[in-house]
Amino acid sequence: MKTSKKEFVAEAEDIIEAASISLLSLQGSFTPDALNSLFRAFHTMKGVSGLFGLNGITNLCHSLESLLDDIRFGRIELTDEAINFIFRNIDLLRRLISQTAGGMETDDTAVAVKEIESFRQMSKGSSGEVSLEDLGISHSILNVLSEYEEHRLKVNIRDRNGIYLVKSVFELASLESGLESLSASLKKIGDVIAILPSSEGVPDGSIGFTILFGSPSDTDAVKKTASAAGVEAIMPPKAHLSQPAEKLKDISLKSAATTVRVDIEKLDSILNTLAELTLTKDAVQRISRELAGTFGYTPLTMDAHRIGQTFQRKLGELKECILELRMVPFSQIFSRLSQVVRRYTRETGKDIEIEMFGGDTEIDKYIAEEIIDPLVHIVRNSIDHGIEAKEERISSGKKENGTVTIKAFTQGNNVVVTIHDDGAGINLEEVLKKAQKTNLVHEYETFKHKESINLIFLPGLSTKESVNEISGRGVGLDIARQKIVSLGGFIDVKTEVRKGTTFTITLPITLAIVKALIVGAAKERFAVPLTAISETFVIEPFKIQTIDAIEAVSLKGEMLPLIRLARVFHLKEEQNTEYFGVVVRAGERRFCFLVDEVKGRTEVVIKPLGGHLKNVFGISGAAEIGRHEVILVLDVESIVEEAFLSKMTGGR
Amino acid sequence: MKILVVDDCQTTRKLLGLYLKGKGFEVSFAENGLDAIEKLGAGSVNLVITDLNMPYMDGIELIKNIRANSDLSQIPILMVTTEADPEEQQRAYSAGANGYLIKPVTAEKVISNIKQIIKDIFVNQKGGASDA
Repeated sequence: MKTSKKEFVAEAEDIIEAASISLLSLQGSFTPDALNSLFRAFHTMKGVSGLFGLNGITNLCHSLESLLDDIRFGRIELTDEAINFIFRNIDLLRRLISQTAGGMETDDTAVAVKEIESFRQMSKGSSGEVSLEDLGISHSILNVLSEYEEHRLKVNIRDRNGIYLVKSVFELASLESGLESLSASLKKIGDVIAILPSSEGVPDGSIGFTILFGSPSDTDAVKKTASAAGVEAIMPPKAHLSQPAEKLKDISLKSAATTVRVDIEKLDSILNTLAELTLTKDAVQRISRELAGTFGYTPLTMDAHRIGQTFQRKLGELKECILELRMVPFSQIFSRLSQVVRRYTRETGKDIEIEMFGGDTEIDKYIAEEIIDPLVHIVRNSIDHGIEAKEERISSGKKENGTVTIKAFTQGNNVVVTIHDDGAGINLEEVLKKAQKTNLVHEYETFKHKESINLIFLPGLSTKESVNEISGRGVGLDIARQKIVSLGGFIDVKTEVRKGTTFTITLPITLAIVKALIVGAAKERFAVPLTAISETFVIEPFKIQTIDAIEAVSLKGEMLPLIRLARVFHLKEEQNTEYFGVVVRAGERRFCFLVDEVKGRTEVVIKPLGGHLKNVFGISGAAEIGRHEVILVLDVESIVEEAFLSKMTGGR
Repeated sequence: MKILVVDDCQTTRKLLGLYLKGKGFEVSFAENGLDAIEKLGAGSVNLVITDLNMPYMDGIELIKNIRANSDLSQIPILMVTTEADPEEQQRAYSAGANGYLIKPVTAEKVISNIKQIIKDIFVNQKGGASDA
């Protein structure tokens, strides 16, 4: 109910905006099209409000429709006055809708509807001739009005004044002064059109008067002015409606819709500023620490410390708010994926059931857009190569239809997507054979089960030929992997012959701000995404061992293959008395990057690499740290892969 | 061999710098033409890689300035830019560029162009020597 009302408000506001625009264009120059679209706007609004039982709005729209009909058929001229009148009613509509949005159920529009009716009456006929017949002024009065008085009455009606009958009884003695003072005070707030003697209900020795009075003031004000006299309102002033509208102007202009669409680039620029603010915060905290170091914990330094803390906390809150704005539910991706799957199953003729879980898992909008293609690749692979033909499935005792299960869930700072098929699995021996044949790996290289499967992500393995020869996959998997890595994620695959294959994609929840460790090697600085790092430690040179020409270092009993970062980029290595080891994860294995310096962790804002230089090995992107300072982000996966496949890990 | 990389984009400077260093070159950087001239003044630069569109002084102005300076005029210059307009390319060559690459470009391509430029110059010098 709440949602549907929200939708109504959003739609109604759109309609009102459209109506305002049409009306504005009519003000410039008259076109039947603009008039028709204005008519349609009110008509649609009538329908929509009717659906929600907002009878007041429905009635108001209906009256406006009638008015526009009159204009369309030339019964009423579209004067500036008419345009302004419609504008006022659009304002009223806007106000009513914002009241509806605010939960108020008051959509009584009887007065406005009556007003539109009288406006139509007044405007009909040539040159805005006002008909006095329907006003409800008794004939006994109308009949005795002089031509001038009648004109004055019409002028008052046209000027949207309220029309009142002020009835007063005076004793003969005080008649003159009494009437004088009454009409004098009335004249201050309006126009005394006619003073008519009346005898109705007047005691002897007194004389009654009925004053036909036109005034922009409302009934209460007239009553107050007329003090003892009785006031009968024939027609309330139109200003009665437009005045509060004027007062409420700032409210009525305010949009009641609570959703806005924002360009993701704008959010990015906010994040950039936020990252800069983070540096400012760091500076403030550093200064407060230094102050405390110099002056001790005086009230002033404590104060500075507290301010730094508050700064940090508030900045954190702000960051979370902004990041939340970028989030979209995974169901958006799912719905696009299921379209692809439907189309694809039709093409391949395989009956495949697709199951999706975790549609409400949230992910950064940018990542959501970028991950679609890799996901499509992988899902298509599962359908194409993973799931066997029907006959094969039946003969191996599986259920006839294959199933692809896609799950998305949040795990710490990551979103994990798994794509599982209950197909034939990947024949690893064939994969390895193929890889050796195409010289991607040397024949003498042996692989553990876990490692050889990663060969399917090699570019050379995705040729057409290999698809035919290898029962597994290959098409585009290298490209999919590249994309995932460039997003700061990684992909892992597990397969079991005859049971099926599971791809596991781990993605950062957001790309915009990434926690990274800044490391230095051969005087160059790099950022390593914290998601890839498990720990850092100090390495003394003598602790580096060489086993089978591969350098390694022992950490808590685990032998970690060593990758000298300087060598990865062919940079001149520095001779240090101690180095730092950064333990990184790649798939199931752990490696150790050897660096000269660890400069601490920081939050970096990822910048796109496009339009620069392509194929710089080992770099997945650039990030901004602080104002105008760019740092290159390491592509941990490909560095590890290169090192481990080409044996670059060892001292060559 | 020392290469001066002139580009107003820091990411390009960093990427190109990292790659060239890995290939054994010594690399220095400038953010625009004016900055480049200042850095060139310090001497010892053997080759310039420059972007075209930059603030203060663009790549073509930089080339003209280098060619007009008797101390620097022989330095080979490779332009690497997103500008794909053939007219701009012609302007760069007329000003005295030795090569012109359009971004995005692979790092390998930059290296092979540098090698080609060095080779050309070497051949020319040899040709000049035999004439004498």
